[in-house]
Amino acid sequence: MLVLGTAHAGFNYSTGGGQTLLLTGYLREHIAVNLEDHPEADASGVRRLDGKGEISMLRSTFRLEAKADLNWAQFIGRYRVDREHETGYLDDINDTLGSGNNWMDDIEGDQMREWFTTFEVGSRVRATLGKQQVVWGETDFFRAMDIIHGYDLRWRSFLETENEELRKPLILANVEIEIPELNGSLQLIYRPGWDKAKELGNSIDVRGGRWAGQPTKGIDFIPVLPYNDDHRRADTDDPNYGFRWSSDAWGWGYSLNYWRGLNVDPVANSFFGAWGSTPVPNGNPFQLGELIFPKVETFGATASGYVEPIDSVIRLEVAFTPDKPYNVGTDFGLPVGPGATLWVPGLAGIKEKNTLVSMIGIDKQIKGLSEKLGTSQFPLVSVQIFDTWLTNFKQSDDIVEVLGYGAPRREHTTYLTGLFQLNYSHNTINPSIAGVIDAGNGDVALIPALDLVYGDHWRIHTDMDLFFVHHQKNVKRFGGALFNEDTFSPSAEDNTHLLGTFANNSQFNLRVTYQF
Amino acid sequence: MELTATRRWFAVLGYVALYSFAMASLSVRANDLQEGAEISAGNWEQMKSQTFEGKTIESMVSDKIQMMVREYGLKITLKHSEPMTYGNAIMDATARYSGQVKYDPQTRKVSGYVAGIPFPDYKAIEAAPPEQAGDMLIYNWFYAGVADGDYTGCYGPYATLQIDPAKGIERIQGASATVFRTMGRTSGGPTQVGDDPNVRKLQVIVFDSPYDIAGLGIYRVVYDDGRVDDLYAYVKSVRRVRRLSGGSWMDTLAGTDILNDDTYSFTGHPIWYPRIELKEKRWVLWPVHSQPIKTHDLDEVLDYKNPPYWNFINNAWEPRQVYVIEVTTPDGHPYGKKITYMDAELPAALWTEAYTRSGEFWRIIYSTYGPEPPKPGEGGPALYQLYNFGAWDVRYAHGNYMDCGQWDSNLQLQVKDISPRLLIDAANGKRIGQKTQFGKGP
Repeated sequence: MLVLGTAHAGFNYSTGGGQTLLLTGYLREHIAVNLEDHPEADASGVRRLDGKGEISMLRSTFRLEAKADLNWAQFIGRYRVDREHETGYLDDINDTLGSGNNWMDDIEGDQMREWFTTFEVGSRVRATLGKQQVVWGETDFFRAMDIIHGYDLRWRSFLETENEELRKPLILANVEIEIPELNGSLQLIYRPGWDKAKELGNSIDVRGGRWAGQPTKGIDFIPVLPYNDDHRRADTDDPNYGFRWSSDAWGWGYSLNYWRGLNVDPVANSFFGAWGSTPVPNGNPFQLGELIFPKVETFGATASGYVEPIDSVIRLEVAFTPDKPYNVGTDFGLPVGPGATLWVPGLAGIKEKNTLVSMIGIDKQIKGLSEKLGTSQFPLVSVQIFDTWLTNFKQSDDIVEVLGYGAPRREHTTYLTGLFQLNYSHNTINPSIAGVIDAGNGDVALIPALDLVYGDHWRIHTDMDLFFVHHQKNVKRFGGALFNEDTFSPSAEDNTHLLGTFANNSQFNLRVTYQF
Repeated sequence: MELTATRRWFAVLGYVALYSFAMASLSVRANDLQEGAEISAGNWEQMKSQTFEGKTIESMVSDKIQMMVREYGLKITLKHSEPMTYGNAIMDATARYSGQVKYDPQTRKVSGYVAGIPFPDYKAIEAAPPEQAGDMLIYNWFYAGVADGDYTGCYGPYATLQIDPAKGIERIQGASATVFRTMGRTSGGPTQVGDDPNVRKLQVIVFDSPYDIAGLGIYRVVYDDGRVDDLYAYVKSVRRVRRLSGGSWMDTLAGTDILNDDTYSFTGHPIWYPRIELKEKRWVLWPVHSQPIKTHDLDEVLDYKNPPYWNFINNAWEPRQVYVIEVTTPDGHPYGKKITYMDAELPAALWTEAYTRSGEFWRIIYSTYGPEPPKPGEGGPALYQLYNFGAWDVRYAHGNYMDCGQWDSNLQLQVKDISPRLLIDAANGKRIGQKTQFGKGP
């Protein structure tokens, strides 16, 4: 007998034998508007791109999830199709440097996000095989051990609330073995290397799209820095593997992790300081090198526990990557004409440095505030310090923080993040504010948001992504034409750190979802 | 001879006395309402002075339940009272182990508990100082509450309903839930399982609809030594199990009108509350032996088509003796106090009335019960099941109904089967409950 149910839960089928099939998903529309003008030049080279008040994203998404439970195994499929309208602003960006590049191809399409089966083997082993997401770590906003997968940061940067939509799933064998004798479980992950190269590592906007770092909107770097997925030390076809031991002690949950995979951020292997092997020429006379995801290994540990005297949850995470590759050359430039230099900080080569990433976070419910503010739940405050330390740091290594920007990497790069969340009217009106501060230079990203819940089907999310950046690469006029400030200067600018690349990119974002 | 005659005389006198007493009782009962009589807002004034099993209706309906009848459309269908029929294994364990259970008035903690009802001697409880009696009654519920078998699993396509009493159902959430006793087990095997002798039970709830909360799961380790629960949440949208604050026992449960410590009308450890005091013993009407729910369609259990859309239906209300227990809340708790009505025969919290710190009546959190037919081979009298659970919030004019559809109980599961891993499995579509014949939603 087949029973079909519909209603608030999508489509639900069940048989008399206890097998079930559940189909759920959503239709979603994103609308984002620029809140600031962009200073870089448009296609004419003499006028600014601007774009304040223009629609930077008009994106339609359909997602379908199918979950089948056959009792002895579960089968899951997750499909997503994205379509973007080329708004006037995006058209301007695409026209800026006519390289035949249609950046729209990077942000739309359809994909089988995940497909996997999960089943038990005996009484203590569970295997999950197929394209999936495996997430480790305890960190919000940033990533220490959440490094098995890259993120697609091209269509919404890091700002989409649900990071499962940004993470790039991989084909993995994921086996968890319960070991009650040792009060824990051992998770073994093996990636055979069957994924397409583009599924590995972070996809960052290097083709001049709406999330390209200022002032490179409209500039496609792929012809001069193509990806190489066959590099001897950065081959995306090589297997990756790792393990995680999870247990608890004295009321704290902890995990020990090891992952041998690819560096999630690309580094540039340049002709001017080749690392491992000379870049593969792509026929472009202006090619500078190639982008690679070098193979690294990372050792990590996490812990979290509730500390009753302060009524708070403490989260801890540490991840050590020996010999992590970084680009060097804060003042690396190429002459491009009389008195002009193309400054490309980072193309002087690659150096490997031992890197210790650490995080301490505290989550606290402010009980006394609930009555004062009239919330339906205790307000939540979450604060986190996230630090990246190059343990064998030397100033003379001349490491850049961001490829293409002249700011030297600091021994410690420390971010403070905070989240304050309120819930009203039975959690149907949920305002929140999140912030990220670069403790080293005071650059700030602030994200006030409002989530609204209407019945079972409609969900509205709106936020503003505000960047208060005082350290950025400026655009100036040189003889009527607009150029980066350091084009005709004797050295590259040297103060644009990571948040500085978001300068003038503040957005208003509205997301309407019909879910089923 | 004389002796025999005298005996006969006394016997006749005895018969006469007995007959007179019986007739007097019958004369009281003759005016009693019939089983099946319905009391509602429309007939409350006529009904309130009538009797049932010799007691007036008004005397058996607390002020706040009267308010629900007179102002919020709650209907009471009468049924004659039935004695408790608690499972054989539980009563055997009570007889075997309750003698060694000790309550320490200084620490307000219990020692020596193994299984069964820790304090079955209600006379002794009533003789104790009120603040100790309150603790002991709550401990009976805490350790041997009828709502949990050794394993209870369920699936509810309408696990949580958010209700506006003026408009109807606002939102529906589907969920699977399971409760696994690690202590006080009576369904065979050891009475205690797991590594930590102070863990009392493990609880899991996983939402499967609507989409935005599908996969959200909570894993809870409940202790008996006064420690707050260990709480872990799996959030599918970030694919991560996170530790939650143990202090959230006094926070709202996911936007409902129920605090976490209101679950089944009262949950949490007695020592989390500064004072739990027995105020009185009285008669009330409450559904404890209703007819088994059949298909568990929402139509069968909730009057969700008629205002105020939140009243449970198809229940039989019987006279029950209850203990009225006043619970003083700690600092930071949204309530000023809770009044919990605990059955005087069965370890069951029937309902709780919650008040603000300024003493204003806030909400009722109720639980109704009914016997569960014994399974083949289980034998003995039935256990009890939670039939309806919800909240009526008169302060914010809002309510909830929570129902877990069909229940599986006392399945042969092991403690290792109930781990945080279950949250991820459930998010991947694995059903927690065993039964697939669940009721229809609205």
